[in-house]
Amino acid sequence: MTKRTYIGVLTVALAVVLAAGGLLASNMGFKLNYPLQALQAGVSLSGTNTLALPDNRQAGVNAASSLMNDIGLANVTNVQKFLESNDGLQVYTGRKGAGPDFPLATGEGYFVKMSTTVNYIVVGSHDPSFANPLNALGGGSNSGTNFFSYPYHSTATTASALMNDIGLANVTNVQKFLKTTDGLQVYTGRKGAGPDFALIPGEAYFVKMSTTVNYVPSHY
Amino acid sequence: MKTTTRILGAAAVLAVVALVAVPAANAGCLPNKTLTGWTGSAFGYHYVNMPPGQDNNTVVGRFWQTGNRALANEGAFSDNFWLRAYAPAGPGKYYILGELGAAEVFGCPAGSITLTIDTNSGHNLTIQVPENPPALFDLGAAQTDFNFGVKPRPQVASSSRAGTAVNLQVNVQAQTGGIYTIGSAVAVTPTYRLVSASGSSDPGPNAALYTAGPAVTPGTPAPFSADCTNPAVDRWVAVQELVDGVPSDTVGARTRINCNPALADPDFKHVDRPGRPNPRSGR
Repeated sequence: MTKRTYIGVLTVALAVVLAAGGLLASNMGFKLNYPLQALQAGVSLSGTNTLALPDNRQAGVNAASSLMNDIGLANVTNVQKFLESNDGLQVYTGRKGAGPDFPLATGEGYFVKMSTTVNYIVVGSHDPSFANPLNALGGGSNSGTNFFSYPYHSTATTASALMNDIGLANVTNVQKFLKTTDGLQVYTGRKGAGPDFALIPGEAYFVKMSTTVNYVPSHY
Repeated sequence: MKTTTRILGAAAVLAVVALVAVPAANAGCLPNKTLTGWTGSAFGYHYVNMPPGQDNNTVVGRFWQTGNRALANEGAFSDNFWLRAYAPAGPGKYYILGELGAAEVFGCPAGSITLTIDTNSGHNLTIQVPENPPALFDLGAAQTDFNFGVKPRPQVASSSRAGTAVNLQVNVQAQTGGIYTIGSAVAVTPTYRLVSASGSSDPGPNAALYTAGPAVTPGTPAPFSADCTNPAVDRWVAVQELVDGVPSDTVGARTRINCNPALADPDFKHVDRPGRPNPRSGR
């Protein structure tokens, strides 16, 4: 093989690898080092964090109990699931007398209340074909509010971009949980709205819908 | 033994049920609820027309879950977070947009909100709005802009002096205007009570400076005894409104009760203008 042929083959091989990488980027495996903060003045008011898990979770992490074990049971006070039907929360503590465990579902965000801060290594992959059911009021949704698991490599990196990606006319607002106060920052994208905010991989967001959309996030 | 087992079993079931659907407990609403007559309203944009000279720093705005202020209210959610100026429409044009998921909000109102805005100028705006649809308190459903009403001023119908007390019969008229009940909310009707304070000058609108007196029914004269033990200072009587049992932060225009016995005997209060010739007297 001549030097020229060798370079040519190498270039083609590299191009194939890059192309394949590009094709697979959306659902390739990845890791995220996501800080789950315990109560700490100025950082977290109560130790409550939102958590967005990948569409394809780490093997074995399929329920609140296994998520707690993966994070480290001793560090976690509870895992909370948002109930669209009544805008309430189902809480699993994993301790004696706890309510029933619940399964984790693709596309759902969760609250995780920490007793000790942990830099949680989230492992998994994206499913580019998964359509998130973002439900408007009615049909089992009390107010049209959904707790959306924000995909890590969405092209939408702000609340406004997410609303536009879903379809602005279909979305009433996007709500970000503020750890420092346990309050919410709300962006409506309409006249008189508060400021836009950045979306952070690992965080989940409330998305309130005026029209139901099966949302397939744009991704890179 | 069987009974104990049954009791324990029932308790366990109750505990599980309680844990399965825990309502969102938070500083504010989690998820968010919106109080609006603006963005998010299904009925377009509606203004609050502020009285002249007032803005969202001078007024006192409050809102709460109707019937249970202790459960959910504005907390530390400052007026200018939810009562906002809309400058393009001109001076005095405000709109209401409050995101109740804010951490400053105390509790999470449900069912119906009662909202009041009191001014130092004796104006009041009271609105009662239902939560409809869930998570939305849509003030726009009134389909009108919101104007303030004027709080009543006590009117002395008659008076007499007894020792150091001046006994009055006081009339109060209900506030006209500025009261809105929307949709299925129970009609909001303020109640009224007399309040009084001492002072050589008008104590001003701050209700905290007054002592609460008897309740009054609009249109029905109510007795009120002004303590004039110290004739050097006067008594000031005003009306404080109570909306859903919650007393207003400011009172309406004050009525002065002059405690000086040389001037205050109401029976002889009328004084002819001096220096004006009386044609009948020949002077």
